Amino acid sequence: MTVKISNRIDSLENLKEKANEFKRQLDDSVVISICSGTGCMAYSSDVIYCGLQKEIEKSSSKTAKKIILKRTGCHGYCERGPIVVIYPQEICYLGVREKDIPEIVEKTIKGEIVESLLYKDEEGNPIVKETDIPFYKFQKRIILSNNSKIDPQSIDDYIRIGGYQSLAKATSQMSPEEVLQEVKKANLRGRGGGGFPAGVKWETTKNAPGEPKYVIVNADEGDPGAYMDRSILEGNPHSILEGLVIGAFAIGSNKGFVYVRQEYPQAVKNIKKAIGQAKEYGFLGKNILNSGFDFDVEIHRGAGAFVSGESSALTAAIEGNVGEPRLKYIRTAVSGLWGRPTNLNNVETWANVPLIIKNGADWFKSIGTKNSSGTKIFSLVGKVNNTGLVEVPMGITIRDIIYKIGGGIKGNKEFKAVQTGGPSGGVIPEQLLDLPVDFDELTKAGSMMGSGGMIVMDESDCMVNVAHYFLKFSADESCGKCVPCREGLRQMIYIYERIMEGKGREEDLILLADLSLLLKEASLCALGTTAPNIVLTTLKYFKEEYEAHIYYNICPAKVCVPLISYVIDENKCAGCGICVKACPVDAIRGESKKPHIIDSEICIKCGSCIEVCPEKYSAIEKKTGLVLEKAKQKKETEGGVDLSK
Amino acid sequence: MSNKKENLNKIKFNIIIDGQKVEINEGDTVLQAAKKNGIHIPTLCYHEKIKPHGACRLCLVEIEKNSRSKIVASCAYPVEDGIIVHTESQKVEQIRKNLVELYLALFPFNPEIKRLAKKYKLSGTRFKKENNYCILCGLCVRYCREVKKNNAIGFVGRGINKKVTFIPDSAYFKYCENCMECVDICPTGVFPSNYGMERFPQISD
Amino acid sequence: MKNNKRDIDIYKQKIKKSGFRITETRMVILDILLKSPDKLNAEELFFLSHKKYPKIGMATIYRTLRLLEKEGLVTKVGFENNKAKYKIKESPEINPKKNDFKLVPGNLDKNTGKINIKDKSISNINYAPGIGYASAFESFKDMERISAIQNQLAGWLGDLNKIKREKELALEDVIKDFGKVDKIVIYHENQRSNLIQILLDVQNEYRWLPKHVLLYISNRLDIPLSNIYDITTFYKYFNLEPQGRHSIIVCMGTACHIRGAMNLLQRIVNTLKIKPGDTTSDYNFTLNTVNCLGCCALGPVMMVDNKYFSNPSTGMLKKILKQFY
Repeated sequence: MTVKISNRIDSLENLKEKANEFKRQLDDSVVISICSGTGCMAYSSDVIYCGLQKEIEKSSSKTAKKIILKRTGCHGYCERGPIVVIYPQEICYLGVREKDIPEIVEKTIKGEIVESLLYKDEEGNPIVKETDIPFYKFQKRIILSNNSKIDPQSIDDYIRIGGYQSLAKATSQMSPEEVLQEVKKANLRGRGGGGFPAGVKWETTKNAPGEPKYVIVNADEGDPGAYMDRSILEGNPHSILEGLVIGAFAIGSNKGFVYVRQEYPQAVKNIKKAIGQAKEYGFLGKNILNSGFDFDVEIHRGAGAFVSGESSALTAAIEGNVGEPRLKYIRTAVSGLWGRPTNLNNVETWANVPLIIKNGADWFKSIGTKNSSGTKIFSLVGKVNNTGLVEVPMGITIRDIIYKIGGGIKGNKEFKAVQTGGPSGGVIPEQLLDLPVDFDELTKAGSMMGSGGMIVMDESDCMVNVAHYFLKFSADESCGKCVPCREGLRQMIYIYERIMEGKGREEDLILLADLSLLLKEASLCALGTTAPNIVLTTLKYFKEEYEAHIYYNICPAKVCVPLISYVIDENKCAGCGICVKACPVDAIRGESKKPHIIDSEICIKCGSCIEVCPEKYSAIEKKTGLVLEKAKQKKETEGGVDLSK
Repeated sequence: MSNKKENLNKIKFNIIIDGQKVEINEGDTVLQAAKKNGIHIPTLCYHEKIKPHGACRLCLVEIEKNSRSKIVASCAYPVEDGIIVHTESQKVEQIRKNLVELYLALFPFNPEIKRLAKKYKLSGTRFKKENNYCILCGLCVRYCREVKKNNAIGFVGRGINKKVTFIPDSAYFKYCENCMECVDICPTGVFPSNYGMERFPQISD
Repeated sequence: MKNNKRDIDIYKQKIKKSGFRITETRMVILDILLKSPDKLNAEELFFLSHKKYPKIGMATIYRTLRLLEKEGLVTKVGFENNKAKYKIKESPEINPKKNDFKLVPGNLDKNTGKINIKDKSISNINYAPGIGYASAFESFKDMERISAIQNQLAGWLGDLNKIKREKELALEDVIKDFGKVDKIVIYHENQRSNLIQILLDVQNEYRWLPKHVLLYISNRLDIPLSNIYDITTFYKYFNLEPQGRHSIIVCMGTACHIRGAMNLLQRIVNTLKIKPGDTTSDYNFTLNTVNCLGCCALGPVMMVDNKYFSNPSTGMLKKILKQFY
């Protein structure tokens, strides 16, 4: 005997009816959607939400207009958060603060616009619509655009924008084989970094002998500086679930896992809620949409290991063992979880599936390049004016992303390099900025697209320091099983530390090259084989910086602490003494109203003094190349040139 | 050495190792195939009684398949029909040379490492020496886990901070049966001095 | 020991008289120790013996040292670089006995890992809690078992002295803890493969993983303790030490790094006087670093409990931290 659940949806027609019903509920109303992604939350967008709520309640007696307030996921323009968008006009307010609340509510009721919160272009002209703002205009937001329209904790919202209709179409009008062929035709490649064609992987899993088959969502986004998957998990979890069920239907799997990292508590919460709601509506569980297909999904939380995102490590973690990569030469698609065929894909890959089924493979292929179809979400961060999440069609040049969308380098400094692919990727210098973004082009240049991190660096970033940072990250996250990765990274870090202290030797560059080759060829897993990419690319494109560190003990970007000193310009210093108080180690001395001096022996170079020195004086600066006695002697015996800046 | 009758029932593959044509049972690894035919591939973390681990990376060989070549760990790679194996190609030698140099910085006293060092004419190492000596091959852990089934030794930590230790470090639990076979199996001969000999859990603790 | 030839001969005679079986290997090692003015560690013994007796391997050295120590001929004298040093025991009490490992009072059943209690009258029980006692937590009417647990607790408390700073650990607390943990295990369907999820829930409950809880889980799910320790030390999220009341997290993501996260961390370290991973002595703050908080536009970011702060200077830091007392 089946108990009819009141919310359960049985067919595509039923679903479309519900969608229209929800759309109608929004007629004659204005929707205020406020971004509650983590970036905006850090700017207290939750406080603004509560304030808006109160203000709307207060004003509800004064107007007949229906105002609906929604908390949405990440809108992407994180530099200018918190962001509020008014629908249906798509009016976009940036940098909203608590004090703006009464004006927003008042003007929205009247149907007017708060000019001061609008985006202004270079000439000062205001831009009203979200999609006209340059940051958004040059993107192609097929996945992210929905974030601003729905409340991620409401399945009704997702249905309203057409959610789950692809699933209904697949289960009622297509066979599993047809679904698979469609995805294969669309040439959807894995968005987690591997770029392997998802359709081919699905096919291998489907054809591999063994039951039951499993499907996994890899939401273990471990790249530092990348938060694309997080914004999809927090902002539109149902899209991932829908893609997962479609994939399971195509492959013939009845059980799925979502592996989320524990460091994303909001994402865990939202996906958990989404699964509960999907079950209630009949999109998960038994006899989905009356198709006879059963599917269930379980959440598995990660616990703080980047290496667990690797596919063999992830399957080990789900099985209850330590999340270390395993030595196996049989693909996970053939033998994965508990030895059964398992298909593992990244969050963004799954999120693309419903769109492919809805609009067709040809539509998907029309976006992007010949070998890489569709879009890719990047987290554009670092020294750009517009930091945030950008979704662009494959084939756009890096220059366009940084300058057209990113708005150029912050503070009008000089561009130096852009780091892509996280710890597995490398740097791309200025001369390669016109490379199109696509899986194969970036790999040819020595870097890789990876999961989508894009960190822009300017002249004040030291490439040696950046390489050291990534090596330390890889060493910290390495599982430590195989000798080349563990010991090789350890030795490389020793060499870098020597170079950064001014004790580098000429042979260090050869040692680094040898070690990089060793790691690339002999490591057990992809963490080890890709960790040297940063070393190889920085050596290739920025050799002069290494040479400056080694031969002249200068850090051109003035970053490496042992090679710089903080110096007070006695012509500019007014002796105000503010820096003396700020210094945590009492390294600054001087009489009142007379120029002060920083004792370089005590100075720990924390930067507190530069921050507090009043702008009118700007008397403290960083210098490099001022060598200590010992280093001078060393160079004299080795015959190097002593350059002081 | 498997029973001759068993051999007859297994599927056979034909492969070439170092120019030598050999016939191998399906399911054997490349290392086993080499051993059975008298070809020596250096190993440190391999033991017949336990599953391959892949930590030492000394057993890497070059496999040519369908005109593409790749570097694999022979202790775990299952033989396939028609592959060509090079245990000492130029690439493999280069890798092994750098690996041995890395090992020399860790623990130079293992006979296999010494032999390889002589072969590649390495008198010292350019790398900074570590006083750790444990190469984390995991033989002690795996042996205690899979053969003795006591689980008295385990890994702790991750990456550079990974160590081998008796679990738990106080002797409340009597996992260890004091067979001391872990001492014999350690390739660097250092276990358990880096842990401290007296840490063998005592029943009388 | 004066180490002159006469004393050495006397010593050797004593050994022979006692009936202690002297093999060649044992004699070589004793010989080296007798002749050496310093104390030696195992490796040094190996090198010294290797030249003349290349067949003596490291393993043999260890075995022999162990044996000689048991027999009272050799004694350990301290550590250097984590390696034990040995020397000849001045007045050897040579009592060669067979190493007879009898588990008192019960017997270790290898198959189940449980100890079968033979003699119930023994109150001084030296062995593992949990093993054989899993059922003890189900009913506390059995006074003998309670007294056994109390004795064991006395041993545990020595290890758990850090908890004592926060609160006194009493038997009732331990039992309550086990009740809570049991609920979590049952929620995860008693499945071994859910170990990581169980540990995450326990950690969210207590904010750290107390040792007795780990021992309980090991017994309850029949997972060897080595696996549990492997997992808890592998993942960064798990804490095996009690944490402070407030947690300070500094983002070390790439975007924050190039915006000066290292300087921020340095300022925090100077203000709190603890390193990342440590807790202040008053157990108020724990400092940790994390790889990306996802607020790259605010970088460098410091998070205290759930509040975010963007690049506070030293003065601001002191003000902010005062709020959390």
